[in-house]
Formats: sequence, structure tokens, C-alpha cells
Amino acid sequence: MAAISIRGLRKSYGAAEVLRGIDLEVKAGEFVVLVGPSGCGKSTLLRLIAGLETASSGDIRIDGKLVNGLAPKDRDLAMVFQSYALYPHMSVRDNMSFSLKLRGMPRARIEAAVRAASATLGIQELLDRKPRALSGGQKQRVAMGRAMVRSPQAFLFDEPLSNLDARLREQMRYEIRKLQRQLGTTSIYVTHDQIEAMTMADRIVAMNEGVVQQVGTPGELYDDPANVFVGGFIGSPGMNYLGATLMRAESGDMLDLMLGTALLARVPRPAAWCSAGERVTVGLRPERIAMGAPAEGIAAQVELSEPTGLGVVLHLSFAGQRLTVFTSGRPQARVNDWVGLRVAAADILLFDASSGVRLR
Amino acid sequence: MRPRLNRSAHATLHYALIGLYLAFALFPLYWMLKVSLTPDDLLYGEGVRLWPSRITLQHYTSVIEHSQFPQFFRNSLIVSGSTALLVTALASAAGYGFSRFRFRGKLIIVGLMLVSQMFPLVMIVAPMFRLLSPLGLTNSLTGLVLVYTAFNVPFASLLMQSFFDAIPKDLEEAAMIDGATRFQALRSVIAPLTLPGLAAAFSFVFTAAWSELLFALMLNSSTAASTFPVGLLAFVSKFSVDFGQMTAAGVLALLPVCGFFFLIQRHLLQGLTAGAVKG
Repeated sequence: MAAISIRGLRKSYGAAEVLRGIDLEVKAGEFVVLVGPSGCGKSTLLRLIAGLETASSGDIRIDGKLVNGLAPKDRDLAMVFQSYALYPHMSVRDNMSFSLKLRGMPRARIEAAVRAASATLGIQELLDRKPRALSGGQKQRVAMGRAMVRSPQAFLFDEPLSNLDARLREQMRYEIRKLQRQLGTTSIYVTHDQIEAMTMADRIVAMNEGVVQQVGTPGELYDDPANVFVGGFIGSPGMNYLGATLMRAESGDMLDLMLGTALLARVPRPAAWCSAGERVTVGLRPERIAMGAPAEGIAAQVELSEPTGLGVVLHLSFAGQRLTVFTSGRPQARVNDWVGLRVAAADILLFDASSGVRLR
Repeated sequence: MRPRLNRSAHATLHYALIGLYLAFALFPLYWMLKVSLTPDDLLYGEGVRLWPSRITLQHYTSVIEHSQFPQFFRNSLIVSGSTALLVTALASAAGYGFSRFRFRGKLIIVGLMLVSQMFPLVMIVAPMFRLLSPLGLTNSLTGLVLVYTAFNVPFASLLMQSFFDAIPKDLEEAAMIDGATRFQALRSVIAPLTLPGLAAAFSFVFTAAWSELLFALMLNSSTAASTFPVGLLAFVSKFSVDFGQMTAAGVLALLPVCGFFFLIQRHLLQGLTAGAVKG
């Protein structure tokens, strides 16, 4: 296992700049998830680390060694592809031993390594099958086995669970994570699914438009997002964003946060705040909003109610703005009913209305 | 009840149409076989009959023993075989390049290759003769191989490109990460998966070269360098056509092609349908 260090990495295809200066430190043994919407550059970043693409500028170091000019085969990384990329004309055994044969390992050691990896993954019975005779989950395991068998410096995962159904994805999520803990191999995992990122990562790297938006633990990204993008991307149902105004309150350092004419909360004055009447964006997690009788807070009308089993997602409208509330109870409110919303000042996140950057 | 009836009526119609087409396509071959086995005295004497009252192998023996057909046949085999090998090798290299690499001028090259397929060949016969003659490549099998290769490489390259396109890039990337060079990945992962494509390209070129008449006739006049389509013309004399021997020679010329297709038909079917259904 090795640390991976990325400095000022840029990648352009013609005029299109896909990565705009990426800096990232992945510690040895760490499980880092790159997450972001399609086209944010996360897969390109992974392919650059693997050596499948060449960087326009910037450095990639694996275990301290600059690898920019190295061919993929000389980087000693293993990659699990979304399509699994199992060699269709080879048996599972040959798929798994391919890399070891290329390295000229003696046959007995290859056999032992394949046996050990297949036992760990529970695929001993599949060794003589061809990939076309495997189910999606089995293919996924074989792809893992092919990566594991040669104990690489790091694992790279490119959306490996996207082709599996929901239940299997949940199971594989757990298995991959458990396996990685067991092996202690540095891993970089690309996904567009924020739940995968939240459940699997030691640290998450949230990316958008070729720029790293925030790096942190799942908890940090969820509770303390750096900007509107991160707050909105992490968490489901997504964070509510409301337009609001900050007004000077009577008491010293506190400000009144006004939704139209209604007082949402009294909040501490952010350092970056400059003038009274400034427009801000308010971020509210759906599960941090309390509901009561209409008189007990800001009145909002129920537009739609979505039971999820675990709780209910209510879609509400308030003075022309929309918001969702998640409650784990069984709320009495029906469509078109009015409810009162209350929010604790500590649960309110403020963002700059134009740049979307967090105001602290 | 009705849907099932409908379905079986549908299937019958289906097979009837296929049968009709097959009869239409294969009848000339059948007629060739029939004429080749009909003794000369019955050819015009019996009128139009589906099968002669007597058959003979006389035409075959005289073609093999008394004509230059074996020589033509050997020439055809050399020309078609070498052309097919050469074209398949060049086209698979070109097809791989077109499929996998981005390079300047790629669109122009592909466009020019398509343009080269648009000319009626008869327009190029004279300039081609002028080109080959000073090089000593007329009346030579090598000349024919070169000309056929030049004309077949563009189409075969595009054909091979579509086969390479159908093989996911992930596979060779996986191989390269697994420790292979690009060439090793090509050899041990991509090449085995392209076998159907190679078979399709090879057989396409082989048959095209095997039955080519125009250039074979115009560039080569000596018997020693003639291929069998030219040889067939030898059975046409000023005053008569020896249909018996001509059809016997035709049947003999069909045999290697049939045998060849029989050998590769499994690969070929895979190859021809591979592009249609992705996955």
C-alpha cells in the first residue's frame, strides 16, 4: 500500500478543460471516494492516476515516486471497471492469473495466489467458468479478485457497482469495504452515488466542473459543507435552499434571518457579512426542520407527501419557495394542510447568495 | 386458438419466402452442375429438362487432363490467398488504429478511403496498366496481388474498424493495468476476440479476388499468369461455346470457396452478427 499525492493536476481535451488544478493527498491505507455528478472529472482523475490518460500539467506521485511518465503497467495499481472488463475468452482462473503470468511468476505461486483470493471472495466454484456464465454479482467479485490477486500499491474503482441492482449494490458496498479494511490497501473509489460515498469513504472528495469542492469525512461534508454544491449533492432528500435576508437585530452580534417578512431565526453574525439587508442563501437539512401546528412557527402548506417506510418526506410550499421536510414519525398533515415549521439556529447554514460559498 | 394459427401461418409464410429466395439464388448453381454432368449429345437433344437421362464425368476429366485449368486454378489460389492474407494483415492494423487512436488527419484518411471505393473500376484499368507495365508487373501474379490489395484494403479496414469498435476499450485498458504493454494487450486480449472479424475480412477479400475478372483479363495476357475467371473465357471460341467443360470448370472453381466457407462459417456468422447486437 502506498500514499498517492496529486499536485496542480490539469487535463484538457482541446479547448475543454476537464480538470482545473487538482490537489489531493491520499494517505496510505485510506479509502477515498471521489464523488460528483456526471462530467465533473472524477473518472478522468482516476484514469490519470491509472496512467490511461496523460496529464496536461501537474504531478502524480505514488509512494513518493513521480509517475507522470510511467505506463499503466509500471504503476503497480489495480483497477476495477464499471463494465468489470473481464476477458471474455478466458476462464475466471485465467482472468485472475493474467497479471501474474505477465510478471513471470512461477505457476505454483500463481495457483496459490488465485486460490487464496478466490477463497476470500467465495468464488472457488467459479474458477473454470467463462465470464458470460456469471451473474452480475459474480462478475463483480471476479473483477475484485483480479485486482486483489497481485497485492497492488492501490486499488482504483471506477463506479464498480453501477450495473448491479439495489440490493446487491448494498451487499457489495459492505463486502468491498470489509475487504479493503482487511487488506489495508489504499483505495480510490469513483462514484456519482452520494450514498456509496457516505457509507464507504474514510474521506470524500466532492468534485464539480473539474474542481475539488471539498475534502473531508462523510460527517464533515454532511454537517459542514463548504458551498451550495456540496450541501446539495450530499444527502438525500437534498438540502433545502431558501432565499433570505440578514437584518441587524437589536442585540449586538446577532442578526435576524428573515424569510420574506417572517423571522426564521436569530443567527450569529458571519465574519464575511458586510451590510444590513444582504441577501443570503439559507441551507436547511430536511430532517432538521421540526413540524408543529401552524401557529407554532413559520406556516407552510403541504403539497405532496412521500412515505419512504423509514419516515415521510413532505414537500411544502412557503411564500413561493419550496422545501422538503423529512420526519421519521407518522405526521398527521395531509396534502393542502398547513403546518408550522421551526428550525434551531445551530442547524442553519448560510451561503453567499451569488457565489454559493459558505458564510461562517 | 387464433393467435397460434396466426403465428404458424406467419412461420409458413416466412419459410416459403426464404425458400423462394433460396431457389432463386441457387438455381443458376444447380443448372451449372446439371450442364456439367450432361453428355454433349444430350445437351441440345433433350430440350429443357431438370435432370439429364444420362450423366457423365467426361467434362471434368477433360478439363483436368486436357485444359490449362489446373494452372489457372493454382494461379487463382496463389493470388486470392496472398491478397486475402495481405489485406487482412494491413486492414486489421489500420482498423485498430482508426478505432483506438486519435490522430491528425484521421477523418481525411477515412474519407479518402471511402472515395476510393466510389470509382467504377473500369475507369482505372488503363492508368493502372500504364503504371504497372514499366515496373514489369503486368503478366505477373504479383501485380494482380498488389492491385487487388490496394482495392480491398479500404473497405476491409473500415470493416475491421467496426469489429474493433465493438470490443470495449476497457478490456485492453484492464490488460494494460494488469501489466501488459499495448501490443501484449492486443495480442492476448483483443486479437482472440477479433477472430470472427478477421475471418469475415479474409473471406470477403478471398472471394472478391477469386472471382475478379476485369483486372485479371486486362493486366495479364499470358496463360502462365491467368487466373481461372480468365481461363473460363478460353472455353468460348469464335464459333461455339463448350458449355460442358465451362460449367465443369466453374463447379471445380466453386469447390475451394465452398470448402473454405464451410470451415470458417461459425466464425463468420459470429462476425457478421457481432456488430448488429452490441454486448
